[in-house]
Amino acid sequence: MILSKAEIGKDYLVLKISANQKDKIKLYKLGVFKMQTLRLVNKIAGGGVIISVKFSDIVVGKNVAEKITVEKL
Amino acid sequence: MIYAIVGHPNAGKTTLFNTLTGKSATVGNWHGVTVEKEQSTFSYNGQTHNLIDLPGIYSLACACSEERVTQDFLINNDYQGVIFVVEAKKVKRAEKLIFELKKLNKKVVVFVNGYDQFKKDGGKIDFNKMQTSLQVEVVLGNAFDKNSAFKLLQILQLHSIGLPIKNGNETNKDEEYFFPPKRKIKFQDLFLNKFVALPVFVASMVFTFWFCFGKFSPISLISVAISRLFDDFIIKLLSFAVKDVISPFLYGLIFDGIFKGVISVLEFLPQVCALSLCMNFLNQSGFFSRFSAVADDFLSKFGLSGRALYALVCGFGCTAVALTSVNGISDEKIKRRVALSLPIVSCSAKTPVYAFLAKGLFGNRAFLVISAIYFSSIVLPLVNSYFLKKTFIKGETENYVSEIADMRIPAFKPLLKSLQKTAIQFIIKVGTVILISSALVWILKSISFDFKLLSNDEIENSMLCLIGKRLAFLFHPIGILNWEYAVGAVVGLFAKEGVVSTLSLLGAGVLPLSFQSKIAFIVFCYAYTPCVTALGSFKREFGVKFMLICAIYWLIGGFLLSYLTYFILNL
Repeated sequence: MILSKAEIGKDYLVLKISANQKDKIKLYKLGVFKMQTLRLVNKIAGGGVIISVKFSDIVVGKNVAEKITVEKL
Repeated sequence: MIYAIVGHPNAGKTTLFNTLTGKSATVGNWHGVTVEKEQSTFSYNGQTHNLIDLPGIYSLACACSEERVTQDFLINNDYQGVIFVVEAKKVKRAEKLIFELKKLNKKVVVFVNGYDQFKKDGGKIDFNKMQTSLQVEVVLGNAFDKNSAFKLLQILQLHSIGLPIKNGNETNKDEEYFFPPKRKIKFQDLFLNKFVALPVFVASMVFTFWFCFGKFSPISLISVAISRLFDDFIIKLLSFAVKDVISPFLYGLIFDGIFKGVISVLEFLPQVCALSLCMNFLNQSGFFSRFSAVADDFLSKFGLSGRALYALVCGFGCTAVALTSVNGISDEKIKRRVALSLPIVSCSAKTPVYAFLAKGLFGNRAFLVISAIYFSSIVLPLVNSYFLKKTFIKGETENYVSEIADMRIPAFKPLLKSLQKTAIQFIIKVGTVILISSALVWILKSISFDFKLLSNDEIENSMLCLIGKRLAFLFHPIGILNWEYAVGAVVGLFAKEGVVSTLSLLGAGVLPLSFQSKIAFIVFCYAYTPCVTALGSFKREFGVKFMLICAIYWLIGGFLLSYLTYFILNL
């Protein structure tokens, strides 16, 4: 499923990131990459999400959140 | 010895820099507060160290916007070592950058910040295993705590006398040193809900404005007390002491010119400090950082992004400083939209202007007028950005991906330091620009073009009056026929507080004006061309052309907005 459809408070494994290269680099620097686990902390207005990766809270805008495929752990 | 302070954004680098050097560089609980390198020296045990605070960076391999400043410094400059600052709970994520730094062949000392809180939350870092695992010296502590900084200094001292710092390249990955606390649903997550974040934002703004400008607020009472202390006591005493000793010209220049102008601005010191304190409290609590995530989608409709919120919030302090923080925005179009919208975010220099005009013109209703202006400072920059997005700076906004800060109760010391910095800067400005402009205004109102000294009744023949009358026509459309307001606006170009000192000196506060004209003039002061310091910042960040565009854009914008306000109020 895509990240924006994930459930709040649950842990997920990142399967695929099909965003553009610039956004992929941004995500990578923040610790979001393939096979990384994350937790969905909250959903924000407009389709964006807040995720928690390695104790950092990260806001991911709608357009990028729709391009991250995750699997529930 | 030269040391660079490096780390992820919002790790506490600048706080450590301030603790070590005694400086008061801007800190905030937000990612990307430091966008330029800052340098200072300090002495410890008779040795002088040079410390360079660098903007946050996630990786040396792929730097973007402000990260390039750090990347460039670390790769191309000469320095002896790196102090790597990392938040305790984010140590594991920082390992990659620590290894990248070690490859630069510089000594690396890791400072783990916020360790006390991490321990309280149930986490643990095995200090010895961490040193062995990463092959670096490690200090656990708090960036604002002098004892922690002292431990770091001892290690740097050992380094400077030639003792080796553990800095090998081998990593023993079997040694687990990091035992994190369990992540719980935290109170701060509530602030990521728009139904909580938005009311909290509005309520905190209303409280801030009441606290600073409300009729019976403690700050307003302090302001009144300061005003009375100067007017009824100090000035009368000084005036009585020197009246017969100095010439009437010198007496007029000092008491009717300089003192009157300076004190009229100085009495607003409590309001300026209180506003700065409240904004800093919200900033350092991390609330604005969380709010930026909630507001991103809304802001993108106006051609901005959540990241732009930091620059806009900085604008409440000083436009020139906020323009520097714009560097943290990677999207060039958003950067320019924010820059061109910053002049209509009310900076602290405009606080005395609103307070003076509203108090003099609206009496008991001053608080409502000032609050309305400050809420306009939140709404109108968005409208302006939307206008720019649709006209001169077209284009969609970039996707927002950013780390957000944890909320915490702000530490007392950094708050006090920033308050002290605001007060000192304000007093210096009053003691220089305002003092000189008050003296000049008084001299120009006291002499004619043929250099004849004039009495108060002959002011109509003064240089100032004749210059003012040439410019007064610009304010005729808003029903202001008095030349004094035109002069005030001109002086305000040098420093916004100059509007207050000039109008006070020329007695414009008591001139009769219609309700519509009063409001229209306040709107003009709110929106017209930023001061020369801010324009200088525009030139430094964007070049001369963009600076001139901004100056003209807001000169025209200021007049148009005030004309429009006057027109609407007369309907």
